[in-house]
Amino acid sequence: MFSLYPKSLHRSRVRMGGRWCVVAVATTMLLCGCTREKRKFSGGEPNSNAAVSSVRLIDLQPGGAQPVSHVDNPFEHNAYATSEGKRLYSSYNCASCHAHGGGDIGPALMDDKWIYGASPENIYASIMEGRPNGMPSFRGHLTEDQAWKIVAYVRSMSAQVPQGVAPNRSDEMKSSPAENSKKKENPAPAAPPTSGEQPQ
Amino acid sequence: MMRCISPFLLAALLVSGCASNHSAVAPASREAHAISSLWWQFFWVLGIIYILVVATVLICRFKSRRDRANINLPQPADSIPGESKTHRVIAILTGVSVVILLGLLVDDLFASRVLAPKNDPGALNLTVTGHQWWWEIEYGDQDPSKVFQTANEIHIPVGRTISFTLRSPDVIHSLWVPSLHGKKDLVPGHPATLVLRAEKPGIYWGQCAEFCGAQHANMGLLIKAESASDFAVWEDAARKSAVAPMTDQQKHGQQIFLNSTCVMCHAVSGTIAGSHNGPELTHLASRQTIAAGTLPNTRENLALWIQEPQLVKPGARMPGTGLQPNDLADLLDYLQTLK
Repeated sequence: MFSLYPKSLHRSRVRMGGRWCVVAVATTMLLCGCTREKRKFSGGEPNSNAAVSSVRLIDLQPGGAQPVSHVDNPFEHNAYATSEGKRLYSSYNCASCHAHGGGDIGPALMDDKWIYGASPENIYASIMEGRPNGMPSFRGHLTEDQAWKIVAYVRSMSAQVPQGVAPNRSDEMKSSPAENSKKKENPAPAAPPTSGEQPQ
Repeated sequence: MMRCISPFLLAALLVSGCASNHSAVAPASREAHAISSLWWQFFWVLGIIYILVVATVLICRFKSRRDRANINLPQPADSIPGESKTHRVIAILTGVSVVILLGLLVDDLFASRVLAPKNDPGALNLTVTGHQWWWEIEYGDQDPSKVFQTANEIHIPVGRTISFTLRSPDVIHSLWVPSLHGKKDLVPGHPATLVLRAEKPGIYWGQCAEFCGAQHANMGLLIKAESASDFAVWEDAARKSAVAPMTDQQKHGQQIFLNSTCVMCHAVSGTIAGSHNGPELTHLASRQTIAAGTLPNTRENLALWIQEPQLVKPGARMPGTGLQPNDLADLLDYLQTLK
C-alpha cells in the first residue's frame, strides 16, 4: 500500500510534465505563428547594398570557387510579405514574360534551372539590375522592400520558402497547384541562352 | 405627456443634427427622398405604437395592483368577468396590427419602385471600381475617345439619371453615399447597378460600408452634384490630357515622376505613365482630397503622403518613396500643375 503512493505521485508528475510539454510546444508554435503572420507595412528588408555587392556575375574565380554566404531574406519567413510579393508580381506585370511561373518568353521560375542563381541576392540583382536577353532593370522603379517581397514570392514558386509561408491561393483561375503545395526543387545552375534562342 | 414625447424629440433632433451632406435624413436625390420618407413614416407609426404599448402596460400594472387590493376571492375559471370583452379587444387589435403592417408593406413597395434601376437612354454611365482602399471611376461614352478615368471624386449633373456599374477586383466593398442612395455592395465577379438622380446641387460624402481590410475606415469618396452647364465644363476639362510642365522645376518634377516608383502604379494622360494599379493622377490638383478622403489636398499633406504613406494610412499599397528634399519639392511643383 505504501509503495502505491509515491508511484501514483510519480505518475501524476509525469502526467503534469507531459502537460507542460504540450503547453510549451503549443506556445512555441503559436509564437512562431505570430511572426509568420505579422504584418509589417514598411521596412524589414535585408541590407540591399551588401546583398548586391556579394553577387558575382560569373562563376569563374582565380584560385577556385570560394564559399558564398547567402543573404537571408526575412520576408521568406513571413506569409504577409510573400503574398504581397505575389500581388506585386501580378501588378508589375512579371507574368507578361514569366507567366505564372511556368515561363513564356522569359524563363520559368518554378523549376530547378537558374541561369543567374537561385539565392535571394541573385534574384534581387536580376530584378534590380536586369539581365541580358530581355530582363529589364527595375532599379528606381521598385522600392527595396517591394523587390525583396517579390524575391520571396519568386522563391516560393519552387518551394524554397517554408510551406506555411507560401501563398495558398490565387485570385484568378490557375493551371497549376498553389505555391504552398508545390514540389520542392533543388536549384541547379543552367546555361545562359545562346543568342537568338528562347530562354528556357 | 411631455415626458413621453421628449425622448422622441431628442432622437429626432439627434438624427436631423447629422451633417447635411452625409445623412440619410437629409436627402438630395429622388432615391434618397424615397428612403428618407419611408424612414420617417416607419419612425412615426412605430414610435406612436411603442408609446401606446408602453402606456398600456404601465396602466395595466397599476390597475391590477389596485384591483388586487379590492378583490380577495379568486373567481372560478369558467366565469372570469369581461372575458368576452378581452377577446374582442384582442381580435380588434390583431386586425389593426395586420392593417398597419400591410400599410407599411405597401409603403415599402412604393419606395422600392423608386429605387428599382430603370432603363433611361439619356443616363450617364459610370463604372465605379472599389479597390483596397480607394475608388476608381470611369465615365463611359459611346465614343471610346471620350471615355476617361478619375479617382475618389465623382462629379454628376443635377436632374440627370446616373447609372453606376459597381465592380470589385479584390474583396467585397460597399458604396454608401447616404444623401443620395442606400448601400450597394461591390462584389468581385458580380457587377451591380445603382441608379440615382440628384436633385440638389452640393458635395456629398460617401464611404465604404462593408469591412474590406486594414484601411476600410479611410476609404471615402465625395460626389459633387452640379448644374448641367458646370458639369459640361468639368467633363471637358477632365477629358483633356495633363498640362505640360512649364518651369524647370516642374519639368524636373515630371522626370522624377516618370523615373521613380510613381510610374509603376499611376497614370497621367499625355505622358508614358499609364498604369492603373493606383489612382489616376491626370487632374490630381483639381481634387479636394488625397488618399481616398483621408487628407485635404494641400502641398504639405501631399508631401507627407508621398514620403510616409504608411504613417498616414498603414497598410495602403502606396510605398514610401524616400525622395531627396529638392526632388520632392520639384515633384510637388509638377503634381500641383495637374489641374
